[in-house]
Amino acid sequence: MATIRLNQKPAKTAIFCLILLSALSLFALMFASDSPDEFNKLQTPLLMINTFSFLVLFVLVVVSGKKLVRDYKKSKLGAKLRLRMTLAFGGLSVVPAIVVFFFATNFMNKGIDVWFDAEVEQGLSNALTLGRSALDEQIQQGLFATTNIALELTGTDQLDQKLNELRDNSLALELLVLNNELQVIGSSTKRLSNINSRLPSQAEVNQAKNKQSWSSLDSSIDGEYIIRILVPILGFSSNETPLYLQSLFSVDSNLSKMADSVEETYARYGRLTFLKIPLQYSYIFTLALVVLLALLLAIFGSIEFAERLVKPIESLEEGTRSVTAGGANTKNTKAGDDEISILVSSFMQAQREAAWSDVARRMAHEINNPLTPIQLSAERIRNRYLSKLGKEDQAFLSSSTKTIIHQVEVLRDMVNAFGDFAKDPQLTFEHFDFNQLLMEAIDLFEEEKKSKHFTVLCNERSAFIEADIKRVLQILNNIFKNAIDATKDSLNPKIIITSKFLSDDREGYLELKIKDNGHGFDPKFLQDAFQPYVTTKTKGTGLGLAIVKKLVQEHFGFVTAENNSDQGACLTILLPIKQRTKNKT
Amino acid sequence: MKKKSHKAKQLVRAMLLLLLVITTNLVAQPATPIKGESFLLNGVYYSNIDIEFVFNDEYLEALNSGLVFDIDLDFLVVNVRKRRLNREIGKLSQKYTLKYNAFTQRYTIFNVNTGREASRSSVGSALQYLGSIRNLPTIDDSLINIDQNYQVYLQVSTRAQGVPNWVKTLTFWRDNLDFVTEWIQWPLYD
Repeated sequence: MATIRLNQKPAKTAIFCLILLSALSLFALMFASDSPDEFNKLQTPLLMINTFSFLVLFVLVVVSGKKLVRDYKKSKLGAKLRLRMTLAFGGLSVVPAIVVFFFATNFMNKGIDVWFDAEVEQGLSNALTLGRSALDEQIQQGLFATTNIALELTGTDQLDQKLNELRDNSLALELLVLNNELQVIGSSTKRLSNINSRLPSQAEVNQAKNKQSWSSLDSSIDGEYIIRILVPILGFSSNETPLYLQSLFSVDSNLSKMADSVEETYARYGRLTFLKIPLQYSYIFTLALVVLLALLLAIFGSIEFAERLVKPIESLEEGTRSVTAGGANTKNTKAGDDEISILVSSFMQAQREAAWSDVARRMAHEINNPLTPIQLSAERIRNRYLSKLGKEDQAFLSSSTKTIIHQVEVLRDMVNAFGDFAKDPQLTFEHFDFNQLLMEAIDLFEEEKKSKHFTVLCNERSAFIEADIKRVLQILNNIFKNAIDATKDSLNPKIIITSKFLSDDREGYLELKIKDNGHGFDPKFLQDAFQPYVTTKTKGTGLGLAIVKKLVQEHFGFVTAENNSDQGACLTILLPIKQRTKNKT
Repeated sequence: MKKKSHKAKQLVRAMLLLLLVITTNLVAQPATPIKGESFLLNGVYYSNIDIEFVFNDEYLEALNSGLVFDIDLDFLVVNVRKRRLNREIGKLSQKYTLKYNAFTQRYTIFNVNTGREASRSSVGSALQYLGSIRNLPTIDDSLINIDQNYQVYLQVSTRAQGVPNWVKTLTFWRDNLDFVTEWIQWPLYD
């Protein structure tokens, strides 16, 4: 089964991009709401993006959560801590999010409810009724005028001429005479503004027939109003079918505008009322999506965060188990660069060094004990039998016992080195001139000094520091030995030594650089150059640089090794100018 | 056996319920094109169309609340060809708006194409007016080859203005007053 590996860089980048996209779309949603048209256009795609992000995050959280629970059930290393941390961090975000969602929804609903005040609705309805009442008077006037015109039309021969005459003497915009089949018999029109002239419907005619009149208020798309009156013409001619007169009257433009404004407001309010529930649902849905997105992000973040936090601790436990099992675990644990990782790394390093010290101490003890009897026995054999043997045997015995004694000396040196490495720090700090000690240390390598191996560049004539003079001398000896060994095969061996203070106030460090033009460090071992028993030399204990590091650290200093860009290697040692009082022994 | 028959009964019930839901939705649709016919007059083909508009309570509430309805009639004239793909030779869209004026208490039907306006005092008569379309110029005779077969297709859609798209998206489970009918068709001539 395929699993999502979140520790892969592309997966992380994709998630980061998704989160960024989601955050941007949320911001866009917020700003788009300023303009309703833009909001309308953008809302749907933005919501789609957020819904997609939500689904992806949901899947990620479910997958990560399942893995976490599975690890917990299997009692996997660190799973318990991870689960606890995830629950703690997740819980911290879930509770406020739910509270915020609840209150936001509540306030939002209340806010929307305020828009739809019953009193506002009643007020608008009253305004509408008031407007209609104002128009009723004009309708009544129109009806009165139309009835009079209808009476005057009775028995007229020249209908159109009479209609023109009557329209001129009235306020009517249009007069139409229709028969029962809604055919126009006569008409007179002044102006119809934007409202289209229309014939009455059969239903309207029937109403006029039954009630002796019919009136209506027509509106145009531009918000202009017109009064339409329909009355029967009684006794127009005894032999003919009944006729009807339709008249149109304009409404006062101010009244028309106000009526239109009231109608528009009423309609807008009605629209909002109708949209109230969908709007509430939509806002709640959007808010829920945003909150859920934030929540999932927080949970996902807490899972990832817990994993990162626990990872170095897991390495620590692994390392501890390895050390407990008897191995020195030279493998470097690199979990990150945060404080916990550094702490874990330092702890692991200390554990490793402690383990190596223990090994060194045991070795020194075990090897040192038989060395003296071996040496003494070899010397006794030589003294007792050398004079009793023939010439040839004498040479053999002499050579063999010399080899034994020499190798015992070598072993003793090694044991001493082990002992130095394993020794607990018993430092005696004193003020001394480092540069002078440096020159004395160089003097010990007489041969190399004569052949001008060493070049010393000191910034100061005298450089006083506080340190254990014997240990510092040991550091210098070890480094010079290493440098001389490294330059053995060079045509023109050079060891350049520089010393300087790193700060002017003399409160900082003294920097010592030893640069040679030898073969340099094997890049594969450069990282572990200061680890015990790491050496590329055929002869050597592999403890030289490890002891240097140990001694420097005992002085609260730092040591680093690097290869030169051209040839050879460079060691840099920083020794504090003044030791911290509490650390003095 | 009893278990099996019980399951079968449950299945039949579920199917009946589904059928009921579907038929309810069909009955509840706001517009149903009933029939159409076309005729040639003075070099132009005209169409008479009957559409049944039935607005349910939600539609009526929306209309009376002030929402304006767009009612679109989309026509296609298609040359139906044997052994070849049909060819669309004409397209026509007739747009109306229907609104209620609370001041005049009348329902106004506005023909967007012609700019003509009509009003009715009841929603029923307004919908009846909308549903009876007569003498609608459909296609010029010069575009028609009398030896070939032509069909007129009609689709009616109703849409409420002022309901934002995002609200429609977010309340997808509600009836958002958007409706599109199936296409109906009739021959351009017999």
